[in-house]
Amino acid sequence: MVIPSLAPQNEGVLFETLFDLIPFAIYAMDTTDYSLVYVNRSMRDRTGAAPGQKCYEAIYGEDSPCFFCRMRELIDVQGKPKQETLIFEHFNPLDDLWYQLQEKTLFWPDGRTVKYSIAVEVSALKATQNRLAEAHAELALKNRELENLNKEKNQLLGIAAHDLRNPISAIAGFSELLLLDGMDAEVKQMSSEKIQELSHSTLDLLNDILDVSAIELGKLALERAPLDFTQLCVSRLDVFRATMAKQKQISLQLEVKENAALSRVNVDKQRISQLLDNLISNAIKFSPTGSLVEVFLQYHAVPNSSVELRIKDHGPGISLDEQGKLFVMFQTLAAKPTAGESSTGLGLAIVKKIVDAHNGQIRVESIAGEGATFIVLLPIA
Amino acid sequence: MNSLRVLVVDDSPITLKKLCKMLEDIGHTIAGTARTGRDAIDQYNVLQPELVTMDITMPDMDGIEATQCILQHSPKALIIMVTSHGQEQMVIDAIDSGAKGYVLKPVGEDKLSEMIQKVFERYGSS
Repeated sequence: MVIPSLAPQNEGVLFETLFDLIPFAIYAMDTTDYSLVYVNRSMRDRTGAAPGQKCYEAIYGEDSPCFFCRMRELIDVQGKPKQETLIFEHFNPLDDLWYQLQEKTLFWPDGRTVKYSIAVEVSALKATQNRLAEAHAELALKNRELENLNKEKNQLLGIAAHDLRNPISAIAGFSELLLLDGMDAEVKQMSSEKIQELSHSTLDLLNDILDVSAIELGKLALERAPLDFTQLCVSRLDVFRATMAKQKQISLQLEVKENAALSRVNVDKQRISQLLDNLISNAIKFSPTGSLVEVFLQYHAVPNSSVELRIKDHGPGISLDEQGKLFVMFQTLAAKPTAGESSTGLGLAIVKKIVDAHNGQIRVESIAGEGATFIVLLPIA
Repeated sequence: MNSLRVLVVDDSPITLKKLCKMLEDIGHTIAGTARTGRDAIDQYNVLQPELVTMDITMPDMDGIEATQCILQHSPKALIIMVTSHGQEQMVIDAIDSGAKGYVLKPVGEDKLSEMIQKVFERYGSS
């Protein structure tokens, strides 16, 4: 093919025609003031940009040079073109497309230093890469969750083993006393009582540990069924009135703001009974003999349909500092049960796990010396 | 799902506008917007939003550092990265910083609402 020689004044037209035929967006901008000196047809069609406009306004809708602009890497201290070419991928929020940009600086025929940029649209390729990166993020998140769970399990195992060793070695010691020949009847009696006491507290601890792991495992498999929440509170309180509360002469009071919704609350009955038992028994344990424990029950329609349960005791209260540690396993707090009752250090951690599994919230309001109120909010699923 | 109060963080005003509209269209409300990492931290403290969408590359302080700072003071903050960075190291850094989700641009309504749903099911209760 023979290319006819052109008059010099027509050369520019030829090049412009050729550049307009290229399906990639091409522009050149003045490196001193960011104004566009040339845009090809593809660029005009994609952005509406025209020579004279600032590149950041025309291409990205910004009111000052873009934060990600790499033009400075392409000019030297005198503002003259450098040799290198930059190739990088960029997402344009105006058209929601990905581009591979190739950028370089050169002298424009009139002597100005310009940066030219060629943008090849690569959205399809990026879509695949991005899906992979998102899957990677998902895996990293799962991995972090598993690591945390594993840490918690190891911690539970370590503390549980430690807490079980002492009572079990004491049981072993007392049972040896029982088997010794010629031991006093008094010592034998005392040993039997100790063995009984220790085995009960050890069993409590074991039950709590089993509960923690059962809740962890069953988090996604709550057995929700509609139940009468008021009725459940009444029956649990009756059990405590006949046992723990009776021994400490503590009166248990229930106040309910009746609402039809309370008679059909969709929760796991076994877990919610356990939550009530743990909170009520704690309130009794930490209250002085002869005092009052109050339970309030209320339905809220807004912002979300939920049940609010409040359990208020008149014990020593919980300092602000300790409130943060309250729902963590095996935290020893300043307050001790007032009548020497045992405490496994797991009760509130179990309560928190049950609340979490129901997508609820729990918090405590307390002023040291003035009792504590535990507030549970359970959304009605 | 319930309507959430969202803080939207991105240095590009166009992206901010698009994300805000999308979030409103899927039923959430915009608590506020920020265009730098530092501004995001200030806005978070004032607004206490229920969710943050966080860009990574921003002037002043990047989104990964801002995420760390927010979580240091508010460990329960739910932050989703909405970014154009798909490099392996960036993904890992973002997850290590405590982000609960990672979405790459362009973000459509479906993708965004799916991610919000997932993050809330997994982390919303704690």
